[in-house]
Amino acid sequence: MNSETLRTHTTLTAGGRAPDAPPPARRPLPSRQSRQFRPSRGAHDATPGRAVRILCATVLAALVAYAVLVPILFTVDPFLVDYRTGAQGPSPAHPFGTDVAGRDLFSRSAAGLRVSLIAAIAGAAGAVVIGTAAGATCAMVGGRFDRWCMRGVDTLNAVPHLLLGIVVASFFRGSLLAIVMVVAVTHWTQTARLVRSEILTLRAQDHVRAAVSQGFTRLQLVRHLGLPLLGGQLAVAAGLLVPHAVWHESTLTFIGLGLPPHQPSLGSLLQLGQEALLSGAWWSIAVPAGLLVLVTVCLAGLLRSPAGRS
Amino acid sequence: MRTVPHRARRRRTSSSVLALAVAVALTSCSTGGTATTAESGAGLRLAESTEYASLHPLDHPLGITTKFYDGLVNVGENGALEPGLAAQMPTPDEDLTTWTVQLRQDVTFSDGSNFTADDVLAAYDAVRDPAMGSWMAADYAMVDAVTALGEHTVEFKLSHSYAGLPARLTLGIPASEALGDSVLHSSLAAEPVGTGPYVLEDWRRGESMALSSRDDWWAGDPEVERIDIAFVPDENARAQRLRSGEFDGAQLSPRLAAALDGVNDLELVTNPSGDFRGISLPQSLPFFQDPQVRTAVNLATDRQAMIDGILQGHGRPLATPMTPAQGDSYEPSARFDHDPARAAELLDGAGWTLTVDGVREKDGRQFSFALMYFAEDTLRRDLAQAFASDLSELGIRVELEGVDRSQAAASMEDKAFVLGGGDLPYDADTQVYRQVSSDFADYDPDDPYSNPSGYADEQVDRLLAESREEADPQIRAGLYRELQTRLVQNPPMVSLMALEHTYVAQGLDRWDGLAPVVEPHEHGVAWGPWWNVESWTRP
Amino acid sequence: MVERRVLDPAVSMTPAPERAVGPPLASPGASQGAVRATRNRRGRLVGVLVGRRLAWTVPLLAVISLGIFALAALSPADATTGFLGARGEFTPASSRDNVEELLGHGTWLESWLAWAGSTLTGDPGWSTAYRAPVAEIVAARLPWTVLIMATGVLSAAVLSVVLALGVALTPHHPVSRTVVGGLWAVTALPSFLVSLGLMAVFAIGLGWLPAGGLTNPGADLTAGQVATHMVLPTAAVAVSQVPWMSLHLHEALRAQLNGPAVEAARVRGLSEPTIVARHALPAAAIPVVAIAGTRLPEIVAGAAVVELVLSWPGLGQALVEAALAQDLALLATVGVLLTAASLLGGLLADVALVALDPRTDPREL
Repeated sequence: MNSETLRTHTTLTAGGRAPDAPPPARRPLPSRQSRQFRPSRGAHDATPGRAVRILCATVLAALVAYAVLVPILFTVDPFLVDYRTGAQGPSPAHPFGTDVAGRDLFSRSAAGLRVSLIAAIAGAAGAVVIGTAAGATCAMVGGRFDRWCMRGVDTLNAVPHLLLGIVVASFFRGSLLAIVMVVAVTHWTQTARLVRSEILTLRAQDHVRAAVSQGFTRLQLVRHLGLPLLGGQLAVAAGLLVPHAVWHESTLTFIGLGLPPHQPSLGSLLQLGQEALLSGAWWSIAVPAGLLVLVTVCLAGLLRSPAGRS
Repeated sequence: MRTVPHRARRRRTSSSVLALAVAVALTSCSTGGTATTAESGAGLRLAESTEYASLHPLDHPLGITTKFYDGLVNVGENGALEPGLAAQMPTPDEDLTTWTVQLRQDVTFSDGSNFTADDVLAAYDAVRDPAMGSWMAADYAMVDAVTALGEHTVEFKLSHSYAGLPARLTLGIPASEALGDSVLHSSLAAEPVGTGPYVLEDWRRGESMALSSRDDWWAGDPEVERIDIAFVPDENARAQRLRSGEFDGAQLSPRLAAALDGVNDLELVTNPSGDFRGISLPQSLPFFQDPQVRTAVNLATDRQAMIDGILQGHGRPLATPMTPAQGDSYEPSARFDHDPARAAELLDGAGWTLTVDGVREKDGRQFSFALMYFAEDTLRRDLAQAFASDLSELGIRVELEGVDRSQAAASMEDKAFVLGGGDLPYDADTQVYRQVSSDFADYDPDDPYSNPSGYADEQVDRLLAESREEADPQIRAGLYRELQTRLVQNPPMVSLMALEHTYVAQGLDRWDGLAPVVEPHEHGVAWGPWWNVESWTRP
Repeated sequence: MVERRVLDPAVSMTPAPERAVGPPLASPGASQGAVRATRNRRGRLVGVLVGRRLAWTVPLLAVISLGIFALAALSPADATTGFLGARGEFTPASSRDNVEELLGHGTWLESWLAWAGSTLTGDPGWSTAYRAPVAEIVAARLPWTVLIMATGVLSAAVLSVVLALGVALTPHHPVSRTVVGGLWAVTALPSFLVSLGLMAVFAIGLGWLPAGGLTNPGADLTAGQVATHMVLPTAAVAVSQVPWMSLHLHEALRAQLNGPAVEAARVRGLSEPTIVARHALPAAAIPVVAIAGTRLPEIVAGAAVVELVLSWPGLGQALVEAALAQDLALLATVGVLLTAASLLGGLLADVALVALDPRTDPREL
């Protein structure tokens, strides 16, 4: 064990690449979140390799296509109820079987996946926007403000997000917007850290110093130099938040606080599946559970991270 | 903040000790344990789907509290009312405004004190007292005064004639000194003091409760000496634990109950109920102002398919809020047969014609409305879906909304709603009055569930009023049958079905004395085959 | 109490008064050796760390509880409806007004001030959902939450060490590869799905374990009864934690086993088991402890969800019940307690890190 390993991992996680060491005076505060000892690149057995990533990307693409296309192509109304055809196992007519109300699970799962993905992507995007704004502000203002903000961010990080989610969702039940907001408001801290440390690193680089000496304001610097360079990393950060947000939506809906039960989503499908568990309709829970796991595993595999939970 | 009763303070300190000493508690208890009465055969182990918020009889009537409390009048076999703490049924004067009740003289509370007229006065004063905060206060608004005519005689003075009073006298009577100043802060919420057959032995919050029988109950010693009730919200877990023999019974949804019938000595037990479900048709929506349209919607609803598909046959189709549980007052010929063709004709006749996109229109307005259901209620969810599906085949678009109670109340005026009723089915008046009387036709956000359709019909109002003043039971029943005929001609809503509550039980043949009963909206292990568990005997 | 416990390992030589939070006292005297002086300095720094964290915790808890009261005022749900529950459907208007009167307490800010004030004096108010003192509800449920959280994390730690050791020592074995792949997949499972799966397989499918409750119905509350009933909830908490613990531990172990220290030990001729047990494992545990602190909120939230799905009578259940019934006193109390638990847990992990790893600078934590 040596501190060099530790440092490398730290910066790898925080920045996604090995940056130049920041100037000592402006050294970013060590982030509690960034102390993630993740399997390093090139590790022979712990990290998904290229083949795995391609596989993950393919499966993800297929899932997205399924979620987007099936509700368009199949005109079967996922809301139409017929109890006479309820709880039928997978068959050529219904590849994923039917639920107890006789609705086709192939089209209903697609609709559910779509709702869950939309909620998750919106939540993740919101978190990244808030985080970027907060991180950039801290880095720009700097000094004591920055220091205090980052301590505050650390403290906020220690709040159990899902519990906050439960509280907020129970106050605003059945609201998709409430779920998206909860995810956004509780998950921006990692992005804030990332953005802040990247900007601080950038500022120490020659071309930025040159820009400063030419009279660019801090805001202009962030806009023209910082954000474009950060784009890729922000996309990764948002991607990593998506499985997380899917969990939040499905957990809240499953325990009855999220989306209303007639509205297909991964959470409500799982809830309905659980009702049918004892009567032997395994497919009604296996399908949504499988979709949920596939989405999160593939996103995690693609973005090379153990699906980090808050 | 209100003052905390001394009981609560004591319990708080004792439970703080528990918090610190859980490890000690876990290790010091013996692992063997003595054979409980449940194992020796004199007890029952039941699973309840939700924990009780309160055991206060003014906060939680007709449920588990009937094991701790008796009313002046109790619910008996087949839902007939019978004297409880009253020596005989209450007797009215000629115009039904003064009711006299003779009380039993041999009754003691579980704290050893004697039951007298003062306890009755205290209970009925408390339930009407706004400061007590009982949700039933308004149900006793017609009671002007309750007075004692002696230590064991009570008189109820009413502000208007009311034939349905006996059903309202099922309220459990607690010992007057334990009443407390409100249902929120009363010790009765957790520590019942009643005249009933059982006392609360133990309550493990969030987990289980144990009842043990009294040896000085006025109606004799119950032979079922102990009832253990576990709170198991997850229905699959409840079913599974039943199947493994862990419980002697539980309430289950019809689907699961049917699946367990006959498995490992388990049997399906059903009771009829006055518990009905319906769909309000708010008349703030222009299309529902037309009785023809309301009739068409009723005809398009396939009630039997819902009963077969969702309730596994355990329900009775209804045309009005009156159910077979009301006996002579029920009119069997008042019914809506499933007839989508006739429904379509009626809609065509009313000017609602089909367009190319499959949705009916009139004067450029689409026939489309929102239908709310309580999101956590799986039965109402299923009914809402089935109803929406039936109407969509007729060319009416129904947007479903799973809502919580606050949202439902706020939107009741202009959105349809899957409503439930039958909280007190032991009198026709309490079953139907609030549902269809024009007293409640104006939308009130504080009272959204009374007449949620905003329905008003002069003939209906007249029949409701006349039957309240009619002393002769035969004539009164005739008035209610007439009411149902009128309600079918001019339907206020879509009444769907009266539920049969479904339970799964084992070992019932070890006991004598089981009897059918009519259940109210409330259900759970205080009902089912166990509703009269206190009078079961060994064969 | 927590503070002293966490300080003990690091500042065992420090005189008692110095354990108090605040500016460190002057150097304890010239007779002490250099080692002792360093320890003292670190001890003081840890004291500062603890003080600083606690100073952040108090306003955070205040903000969270304030937020709960404010959000409740914003939400369409109202306290009377929550209090009445299913009976609301049969409650006429005038009765409803009485209940509203019974529950009404002015604006949300006034309610919060009343709650906060009485909580500071040790009485967190009255639960409207349970018609009982909040302290009583919390005291009855807290032990059960702590029980499954503690046993869950402990068993996860033990399992993780076993898994990580196994995989690190035989990195190319097909079983090892499968295990690592499997762990990666399990990281994708949310805890409600884990609970559901465990219940479906072990309680409903195989019938080996009870599906819920603390004891069999009617049985006394005995250690044996609780032990069998806590298996599923504990396992559900553990399964959610094993993947990250073992993956991180495995990674750190691998780095250690290929590192110079272990190389040196090998050169000295120490046996492989000794090397692993005495050198590699303790060093590899350090980063895992560091991460444990950041993972605590998730463990707390995960346990709450497990309680809900497996009907374990803990605080998580009460939290949801309180939220649905708009029982703000109970909701705020449980929310604050669970947040405080994860904040203090994080602090505990950081202090442990300082104690374990001399290179950690408490000022940077």
